[in-house]
Amino acid sequence: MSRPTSKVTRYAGTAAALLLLLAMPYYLDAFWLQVGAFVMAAIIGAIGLTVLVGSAGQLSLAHAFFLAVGAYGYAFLAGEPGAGSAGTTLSGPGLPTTVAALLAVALAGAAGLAFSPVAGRLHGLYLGVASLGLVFLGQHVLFNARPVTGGFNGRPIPELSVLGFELTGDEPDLVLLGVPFGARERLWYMALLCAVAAYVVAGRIVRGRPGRALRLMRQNPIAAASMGVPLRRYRAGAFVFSAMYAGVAGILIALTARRVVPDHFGLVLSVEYLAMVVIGGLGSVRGAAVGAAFITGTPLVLSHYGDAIGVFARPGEDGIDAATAVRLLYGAAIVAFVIGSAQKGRPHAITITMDRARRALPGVSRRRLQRQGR
Amino acid sequence: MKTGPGVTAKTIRLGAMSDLSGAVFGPLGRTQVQGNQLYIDKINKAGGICGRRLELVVKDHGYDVQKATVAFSELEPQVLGITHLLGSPITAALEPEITTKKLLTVPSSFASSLLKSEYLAVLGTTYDIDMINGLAHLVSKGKLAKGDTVSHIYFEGEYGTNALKGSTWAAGRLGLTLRGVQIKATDADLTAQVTRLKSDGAKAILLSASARQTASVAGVTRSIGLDVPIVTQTPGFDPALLDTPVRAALEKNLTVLTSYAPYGADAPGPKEVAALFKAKHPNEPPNALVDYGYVSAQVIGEALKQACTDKDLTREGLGTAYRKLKSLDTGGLMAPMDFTVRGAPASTQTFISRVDGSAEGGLVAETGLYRAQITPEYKVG
Repeated sequence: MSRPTSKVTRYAGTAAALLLLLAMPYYLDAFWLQVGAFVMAAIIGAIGLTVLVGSAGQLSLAHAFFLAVGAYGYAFLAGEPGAGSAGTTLSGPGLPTTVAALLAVALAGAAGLAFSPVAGRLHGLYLGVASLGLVFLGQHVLFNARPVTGGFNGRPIPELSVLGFELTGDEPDLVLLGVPFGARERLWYMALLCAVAAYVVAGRIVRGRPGRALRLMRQNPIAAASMGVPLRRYRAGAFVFSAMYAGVAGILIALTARRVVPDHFGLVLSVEYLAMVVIGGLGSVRGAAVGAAFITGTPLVLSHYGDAIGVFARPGEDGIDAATAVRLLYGAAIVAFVIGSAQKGRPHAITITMDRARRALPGVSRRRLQRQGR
Repeated sequence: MKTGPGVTAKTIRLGAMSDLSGAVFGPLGRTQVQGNQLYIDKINKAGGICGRRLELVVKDHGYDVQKATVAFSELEPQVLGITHLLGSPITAALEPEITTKKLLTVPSSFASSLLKSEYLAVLGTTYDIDMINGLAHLVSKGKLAKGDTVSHIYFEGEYGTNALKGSTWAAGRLGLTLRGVQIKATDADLTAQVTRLKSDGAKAILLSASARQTASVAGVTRSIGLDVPIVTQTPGFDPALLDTPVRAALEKNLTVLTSYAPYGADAPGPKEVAALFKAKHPNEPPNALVDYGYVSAQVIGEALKQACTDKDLTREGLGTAYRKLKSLDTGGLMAPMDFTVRGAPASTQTFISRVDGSAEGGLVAETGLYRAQITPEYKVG
């Protein structure tokens, strides 16, 4: 009887958490709403990466590139031609913003598909290094394709709107229950909706048939192939899926930051995303969400309270100032988080997840064989 | 007295957004914030402005646009103006919001492309005009003559592009041939570029990059026996270079163009700042960015005094007051500045300095404030 009960409590918990998140714009100020939007964007991106790296076992350092494709794709497709900053001239087809957003996600997916022939031939670290090339290629293009990307200073992001109602802007005025719903409140709901959808879809894929096939492919490609898993298609599929998630995340990041600049989409961002899925436990969708919230949120929140803690030197004075302390604290927190989650044996701990996956796989193949009557 | 955000009966809050933790501009941002604080301390000691103490709220963005947007939405409601905003992509990202919030801001940049923004207070002389003055100075000294080839190594991005615009214009006017070489901020070894420009027969090297590249260029020119003048700009020199083996080459050939006076220069302003800095940070190596940080806060301070006279301490009031500042005297820290003309640089004179390892801050004045004869004909924009 314990199983159904725990299931009920879990659903109740999820529902309560969702209600809480829905009510947040009534209580939080601009700073927290913005942090929240960035965190939810990162969650989507990290979920995409954990399916690729954790489930399909394809190490990718190209995530920043796919994020950039989404962000810049949207900026360009929805952008109007005109003068950019620092003397650049921007071009842009000025498509309706929803169309532009969908096309940008498709574009990111296409970029993933275009890279999949490479992904089909390489494994492990070799694939990681090859995917690294995309980041540098992307940086070069972002800096130099000025009419499209705006160059060094990037380009502004048009607000996303449906039939004249801005989903991420201030127009038209909207007041619900006495609270004005401006750009940041709307953005919060936008991001929340996307994050929940991304979470549910990825969870179903990972737990369902495709997820099992991906895991088997990672563990033993020959066994997978002999059981009728089309390896090339699944490898390509994982890359496309991950790239499209990155595309959505990129658009949300762009909408929150209101401007995209090339510097943001460098190697460090790729490594941060890898860190998110690693500290969350490879292959775990929930773990990726936790990792993303931790990696993205912690520095922002710590620096928010850095001044208030008061033990540090004021910025610019002698001694350790808050900005430096935040960096140290952040590093220490990552170490503590990884050690803590590994020892407590939480489901998203790295080692535990990998062990579980290893144990689960023969079972999956056994059950599948049974089902097929062999 | 009308008041706006950041102003109470006793205090006026100002903001600074800098890179204090990032690897790119960490030390430079810190020095400028220290300069801001020196000015604010001095004003507070004298009783503040409008009977109110000044307070500086500092936020770190680590040279990251995402962090900067979050920090800005946190900082903006608390302050009346911003004395220091570091980073060209960050300034570009925040510019629309600065304009809608009417928040008078001093960007840590001398790019003339920022001049068209109503609420960005670009101090002193812009990068392009510095280059014009520098190139004309070389010609007047007889180090360059008509028909010579000059090489300009520049960063991709606002700073480099802006400087190249100036040097291209000046080369055209002075009858020189200019070869532009674009590099990235991460390119630390410029052997290939310098060897190439030697074979091109370059008679001088203009360098719009950072101190790392200056070290590389000076080192390579010496080792391949290329003895030509090297001219760099504000971000291209750091006194820390003098502790490296390229010191001799720098002392021999490097000229530095800045919009502010060298640290401890012989004028009342720099002398005062040097004394204040020594008293407050006795163990830190000084450099001229302290002067710049000080002036940044001073311009906002002067605008505040004007706004106080106008009885309008709102953001609009501060913006209007700043546009009334004419021939603003900084005691020789920067050239006298005029902010009354929208879209025009505040000054067109450049400090031309050479390197001297024995001087504190590493620079000594070669000329006082210098403006070339051709400079007034140049159109910014």
